[in-house]
Order: sequence, then structure tokens, then C-alpha cells
Amino acid sequence: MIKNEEIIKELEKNLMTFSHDARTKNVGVVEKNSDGVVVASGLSQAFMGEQVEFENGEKGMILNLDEDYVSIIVFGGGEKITEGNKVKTTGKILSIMASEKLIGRVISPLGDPLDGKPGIRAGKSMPLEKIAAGVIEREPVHTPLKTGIKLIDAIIPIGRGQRELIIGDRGLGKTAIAVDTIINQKPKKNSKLKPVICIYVAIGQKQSTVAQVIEKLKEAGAMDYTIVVCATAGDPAALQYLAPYAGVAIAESFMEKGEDVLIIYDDLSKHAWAYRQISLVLRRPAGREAYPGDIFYLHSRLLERAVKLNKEFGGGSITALPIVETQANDISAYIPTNIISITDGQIYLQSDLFNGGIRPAISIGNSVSRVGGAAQTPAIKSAAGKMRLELAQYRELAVFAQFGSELDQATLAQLERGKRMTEILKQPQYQPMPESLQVLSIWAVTNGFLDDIGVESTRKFESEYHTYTERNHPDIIRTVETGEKLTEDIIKKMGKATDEFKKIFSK
Amino acid sequence: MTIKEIKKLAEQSFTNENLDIKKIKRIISLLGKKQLKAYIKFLKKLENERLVWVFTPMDKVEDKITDKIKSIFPNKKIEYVKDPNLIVGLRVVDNDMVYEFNLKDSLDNLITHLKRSYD
Repeated sequence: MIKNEEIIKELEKNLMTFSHDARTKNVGVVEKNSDGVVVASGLSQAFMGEQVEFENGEKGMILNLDEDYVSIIVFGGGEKITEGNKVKTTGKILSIMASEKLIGRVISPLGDPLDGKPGIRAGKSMPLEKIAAGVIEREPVHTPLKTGIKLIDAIIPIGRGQRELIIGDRGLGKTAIAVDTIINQKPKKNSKLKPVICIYVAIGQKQSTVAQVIEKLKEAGAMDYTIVVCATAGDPAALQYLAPYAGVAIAESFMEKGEDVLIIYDDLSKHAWAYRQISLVLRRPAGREAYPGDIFYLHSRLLERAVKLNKEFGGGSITALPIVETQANDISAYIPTNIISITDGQIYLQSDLFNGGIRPAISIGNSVSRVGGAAQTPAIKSAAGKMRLELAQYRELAVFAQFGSELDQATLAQLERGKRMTEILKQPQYQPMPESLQVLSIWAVTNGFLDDIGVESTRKFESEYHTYTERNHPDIIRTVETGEKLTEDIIKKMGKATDEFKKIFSK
Repeated sequence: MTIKEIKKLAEQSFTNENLDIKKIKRIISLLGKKQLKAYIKFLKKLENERLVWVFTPMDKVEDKITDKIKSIFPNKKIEYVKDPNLIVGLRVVDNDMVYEFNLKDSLDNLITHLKRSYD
């Protein structure tokens, strides 16, 4: 119980910080209110991006400065704002209070709690719009961000500070990859890597979908290191537009402390739609597909904030995984091509692979990681080195093999191994795999240890093989876990262990 | 007629810093309903720019204060309005700028400060 004296002391202390100097306000009058965008006269001192306050307490942000008027986007929908209402400037640019207290919370882009828990007012005020770190502050990506998904970690590796786009039609598992990646960031004992703080930004999603994601994260214990920033389909376009910026502002507060942050923007197509809506109401000239001219800049300035800082600047990083939804597998549409060109690679999900039972339905031919290779550990690099090429060859051969039955032995063997590789790379949802086990699986399949195992038994073989090695050869697991290059000695041990297991498995 | 032209007309409706009825009569005969609305809006805006409102809780403002205000806004008309809500002090409104030198505003700010601190 707090004593009365303590309360009075606290109040006195608080009042000491209050400045009672005369204040100047710049006021305006609402002239028009349409679809969440308010046009006001006056406000001659206002600046772009400034936060304003209406007389009914609603807040907004200035997005257009004209000769006689300013246009303001209202955060609350603005139904109660009428012509003649007063609006005043605040002198502040839009910012969000960021602190460790946000971890495990679900918040709106303005920092208001959405999980029924108390509001968070303490913390560092982080501006939503900020110029990204310059070249002097950066260093190349070299630390891996393990997703726990075999195919990604082996063939399309992601590094800390990278921007990797996840792109594909609806319902192909884009969010599932993002959620799996978050789940895989659970702090592990004896890990040399820094723990990663995750931020999931839901933009224009259905509330039910977001609730499902949050539930899944809670189930997996991932909310202990995750923040969810949420602007659902029912929220005003202004909030949907601000959501990714709020997310990255929070991420920057952690990065400044030297932490590694993973941020997921789910998804930027809906973000572009929200910005298009705002721009059309603001009467900005419409360009291709009715998007405004600065739609590229909108996303590039957001994704440029993903960074790996060098040690002088704290060594923190922000890894961004933006998600983009395509229509009928068309990656050449306006927004997908824009974001493909901004990011450092893309993970492309294809519906025919998904329908063919290959999950995650990642198209290896169209997916690429431009900088992640440098971040891959030598262990997985040496195990998965030839996998990409072999898989690509297999997929081409498989297409040709459909037309003819007479194939030479070498081609048949290549096709058979390809089938097993494809099978090994299948992975159920929400079951990320540690890198040591990924190395075992990939090494075994690429070195032909599964060639005499039936395709239908591959998955069973894999899970039992992992259990067997963990139980009987923990030294192999420990060595592979270090991430160092597989030496002759360890390769010999792995070969021996695999042969032993195959004897047991074939019985 | 474009908005810019209407704005120019509104600016030229003044003679010696006062609205010229002759000019206004000539102008409004040329304008349609929508244009007239815009013209009136610009006239109001220009009139507001020439006017400074001083709100005070007192019946009469001291000469010292009026002289000071006149020296700050030499080319503007100054209108005094009684507003007992201010308790003590003044509020000066110059077009879209509001200068608060009164107790009511200080108390309002104090409430906001405390609310934000203990939210």
C-alpha cells in the first residue's frame, strides 16, 4: 500500500517537471471531412507529417500542404468531426513509445493496447518516419537468421539485417513461413547467436486470422519475445498505412540497444491498398493500377530501415520479412515487382506445388537470397552446396520424363534421388527444425544414403534417423551444432552412423 | 473563373485596408453561386488576417496593455472581447495563431500533463 506522503511527494516531483510558460497554438478550421480525410483551413505553421488534435480529442496527421488548406488523415475514422470544428497543431511528428514492456503485447499502430491489458506510456519516443541508417553505420550481412525450415535455411538462407520477400497467392502458407520463423527464434541453450526479438505487423488482415496467429504464437511460447502490431481490415486506412512504420520504429528502439530484431509485414499488398485509398481521397494524381506515384518510395523507405549496424553503432540488426500476395501467381504485377526490386531476395510460393502436396510450396527456381549465402554456417553450406543445382535439374528432368518412358540409368537415378530430396524438404507447419538435424537430413539425401529407401518411407526414415542419431551419437549432433565445416572425420562418423541406422530401419 | 482569380478579386476588394462596397458590388455581379461562396470565404479570410482578437476576463483592459498590443500588431485592427473563463490573463488570436497567457490554459495543460503521467 502506498502511503499518502509518497503520493504527495510523487505529485510534487511530477509538477516540478511541468512547464507553465505561455503557449502558442496554431489553429485551423475543418472545411471538409470525407472518408477519414479532413481538409482544414488555417494551420499556416503546420509541417508535413505533424500530429494534429481536433477539438473532440481525435488525432490525425498532416499528409498534404496546399496554399490555403491542409489535408489531414484521421486515426479514429473521424465520424464525429464536422465542418467548423477547430483543429490545432502539436508541434510533434508522429511517434510511438517503445520499451521492453511491449514484448508479449498486442498493440495498435498508435501504441494503444488491444489485448485488454493496461496501456504502456513509458519508454522511448520513437518517430514513425525516420531516415534509414547510412552506409557508414552499416556492415554486410554475415550472421544467419535461422527459420527452422530446411528448404529456406539450406537453399535460400536469410541473414540478420536482410530483407527477404515472401510472395505467393493466397492460402499457400506465406504467413505460416513467417510464424514458423518466429517460433524458431525461441532462445536456445548453448546458442552462440544473440536472441532475436520478433515483431509481427498485421496490416489489413481479418481479425480472426490475426487472432489465430496470436494463439499459435502463444501456444508455441513465442509471445515471450514477440510484439504484435495490429491494424486489421476494419481499422481506418490511416492506421493500416501507419502500422508497418510503427512496427519498424519499435524495432529500431531495440536495435539501438544492440539487439537483433525480426520484423514481419503481413502484408504489404494491403498496405499499398490502404495508401492508394488515402491518396485517392487526398486527390493525388493516380498512376499505374491507380496507385499514387510515390508508392515505390513508400515501400523502399520502409524496407531500407532493415539494417545490420556495425559494432561502432551497437551491432544491432533489423531483418525484414515483407509478405506480398499475388493474384493468379502473377509476380509481374506492379506491387510485387516493386518490392522484389527493393528486397534482397524472395521466397516464391507456387500453387501447383502446394496442390501437389509439396509444403512449404517454395519454388526453388524463382526463389533467391542475394545476401544470405554469406550468413550461412559452413556446416549447412557444405551439406547443401550441390542441393540447389540437383533439385533444379531434377525438376527439369521430371517435366521431360513425363513425355517418354525410355530413360538411361543415370537419368533414372537422378530422378529417383530428386524425388527423395523433394520428400525430405517437405516439412509440416509449426515444426521448425534445428540446424544440426537439417544438416543430417540434407547430407544423407544428397550423398545417396536414401537412394535405396522407398519414397513413401522417406519422411519416416528421416524422423527415426534423427531420433537414432540424437540417442546414440550425440557427439555428431554436438559437432554439427557448432556450425563449423564438416570435416573428413565427422563425415566418416556420420556415414557410419547412417549405415548402422539403415540396417535397423530396413528390418 | 479559377480559384486563383477569385482570390485575386477578393484581395482587390479593399481600398485603404477597408472593404470597398462599390468594388464588391461590381465583382459579385460577375460571379456565379459557387464562385460567390469562394469569394466570401476569401474575403472572410483576408478580414481575419487584418484583425487581432484579444480575449480578457476583465471589463476594461489597462492602457499599458493595449499600447503594448498595438505596438506588437501595428497594422492590424484590435478587437477586445470579454471572456470570464480565462480567470486571469489574456488570449490573443492573430488569424490562425493563438497566444495563451492565461490561467485557464495553464490549468488545462496541467491536467493533461498529470493525465499523461498517470495514464
